[in-house]
Amino acid sequence: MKSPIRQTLLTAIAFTGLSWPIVSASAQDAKPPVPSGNITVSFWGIATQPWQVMIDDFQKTYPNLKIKWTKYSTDEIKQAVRVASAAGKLSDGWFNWGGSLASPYEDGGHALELTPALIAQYGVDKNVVPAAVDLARHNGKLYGIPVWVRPMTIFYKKSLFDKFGIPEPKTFDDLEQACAKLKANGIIPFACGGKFSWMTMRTTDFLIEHFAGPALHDKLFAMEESYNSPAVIQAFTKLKEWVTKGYFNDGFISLDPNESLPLLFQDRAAMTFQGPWIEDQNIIPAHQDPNNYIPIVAPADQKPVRVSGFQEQIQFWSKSKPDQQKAALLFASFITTPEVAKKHVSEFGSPSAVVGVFPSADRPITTAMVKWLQSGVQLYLPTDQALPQEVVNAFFQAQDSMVLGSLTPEAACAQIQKAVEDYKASH
Amino acid sequence: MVTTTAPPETIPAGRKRSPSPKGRNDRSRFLPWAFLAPGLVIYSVVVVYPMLYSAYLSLFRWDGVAPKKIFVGFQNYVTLLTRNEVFWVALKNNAIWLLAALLVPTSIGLGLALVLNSRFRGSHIFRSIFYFPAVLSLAVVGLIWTWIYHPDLGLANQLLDALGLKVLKRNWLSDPQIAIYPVILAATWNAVGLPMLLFLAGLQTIPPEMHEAAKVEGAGPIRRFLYVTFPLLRETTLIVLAITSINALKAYDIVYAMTNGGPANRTQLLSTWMYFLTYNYNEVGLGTAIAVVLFSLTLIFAIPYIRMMTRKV
Repeated sequence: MKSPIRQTLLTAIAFTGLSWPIVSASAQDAKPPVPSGNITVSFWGIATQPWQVMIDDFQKTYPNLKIKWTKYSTDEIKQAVRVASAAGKLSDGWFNWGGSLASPYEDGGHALELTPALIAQYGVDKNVVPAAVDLARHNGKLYGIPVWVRPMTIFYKKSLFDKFGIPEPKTFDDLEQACAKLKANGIIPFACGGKFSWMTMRTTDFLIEHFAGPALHDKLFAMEESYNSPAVIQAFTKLKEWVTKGYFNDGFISLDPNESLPLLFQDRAAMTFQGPWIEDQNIIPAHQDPNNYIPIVAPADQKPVRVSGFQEQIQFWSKSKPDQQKAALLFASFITTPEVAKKHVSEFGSPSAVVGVFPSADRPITTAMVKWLQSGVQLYLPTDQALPQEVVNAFFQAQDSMVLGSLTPEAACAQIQKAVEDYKASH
Repeated sequence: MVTTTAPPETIPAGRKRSPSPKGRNDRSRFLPWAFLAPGLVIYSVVVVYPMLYSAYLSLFRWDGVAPKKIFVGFQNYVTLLTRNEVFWVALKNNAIWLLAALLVPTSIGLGLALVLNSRFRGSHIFRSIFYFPAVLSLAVVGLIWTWIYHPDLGLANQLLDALGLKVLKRNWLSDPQIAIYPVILAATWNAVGLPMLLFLAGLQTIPPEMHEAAKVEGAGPIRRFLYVTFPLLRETTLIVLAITSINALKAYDIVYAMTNGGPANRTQLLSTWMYFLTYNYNEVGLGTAIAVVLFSLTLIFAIPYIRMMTRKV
């Protein structure tokens, strides 16, 4: 769990693709092998993600290769991969996040390691931006091909900010002043759905980044520093203060994230902590103007400037039959080819992990996020991917208990630290 | 002592020897097993083996993925009982859920069955209406009620507002002190249909003459219910209570859909906590230990039910 966190300290200039390292001649010459004969590849992916457009194009390009996509919800796919890996029957390829959500499969030998030869052969080194590759690495090794990069940050509703004469927050103080002014005008500052704990966690992570700073934050993720640190207690205290001041919607702790967004659409809330996917999944389907929802770099007042974020990748079963494995790798390689990724960018979604692929002009939110990533903003993993899942459980429980008032910030931090120590003692 | 020896049976040419009585007995003894075998094999593979394997896994510390499992004996059970606070929250919630399930949907189901058992115009339509929630999946029920309980946009708080009862407005699912009760209410809405149907079936087996006789003896409706209807519904009531208890202990999807076990794990049930530990938090040993505890609790209700059902057969 140590190295990946540090590896997330990335210069986003890599996103431009302009600073791309010189690719070796051998890597450029290498061509992915195309298996012969009719082959069906099993692929597990999330039902709401637009895989079909890529599958159709892939099957058109390689008529002898079929992708059988089994659709899961977010939590179902985690369960399916876990059960299947325990049973020794994984799909040839599957969608996954990174960090501690992927590391058990990587450490357990279930996910295929992409050796330097495979990386070159399937064009990962020339097609995928280094930032995404680094986010995907575990203990220095790569076990999947990144497809998307998802930064998460604060969005504000421009029309509401304009209405009350609130400037765009550039600093933490600006943000707090904006919250106070919104609240005074009867507007909920933040729409939040904390049912799964991870949406509340985004704010907690931001507050830890603000009070602890990047260096301590990374050491906390690496479990090298204590959650009893004064800076972390300060962050939890601030979260509690915001809850007490009514900066979040009533009962947010048990709301589904999707149930909180209507508050924003109905002008009852002015900000939310989200990722670029809300543009395609929520804002446009709700016939809202995406230009009215502005993502800002969450103002942690720290250097380097960072927001939380993660990559999403395709992983491959190490024990697949050779032809199926080759075809699965070829599929991931195909969809991360710049020409293919550019062709489908509007349907397949952004920000893409592929070099030189930018959102279409009708996606202002994603475009803005890609731009500020390019201007030097770095990423750190969210807590639920940075810490081992056993500790994440304790983190969520402590965070939510503190929000509900059944734990003090000090007690919440002590509970998390206890879980860290238990984990370290047993591993 | 006289001994007799039966003369050897002569079999006409072209006819096969019929099996001896002993052979016939052997065959008839094994025949039911032969018919049961396919079902038993499937049952063993998909139910018995996973159950035993779960019990086995509860003796290990394992993340569910790593190639190695570490044997810890009964340590997972000790951890659950002594250090896992949420386990006790879940157990308490299961007890509340069970009690509520035994009292509320069964009583409402019985009441509705008594009303709908009398013939009146439209009684069939009302039966369908009252049974309708039971055909919905608990995930759908959970979704409907989650929106009803939405703190800002939900029907419950808006209704209280409209009735001038603002003082009763709550964050129904996010108040850790009460969150389990709104979930139970939603489950009750779904759970009334089955007892109603079973009681209706039971009521229709009571001969009308019994009521006629009681009427002639001067018994009013309450006495007739207490001394005729209810005693004759004894078997049905026991079945309803057993099924309700087992369903209450199995409750999972509605909690998952409505609260995800939150806030801060305050609405966890044993089943949901088992799931979260096993699949979300990599604690397969602890999760399967809960499975064993839950299975043992279910047996308390399942064994009398199975005995009753098999006795009837």
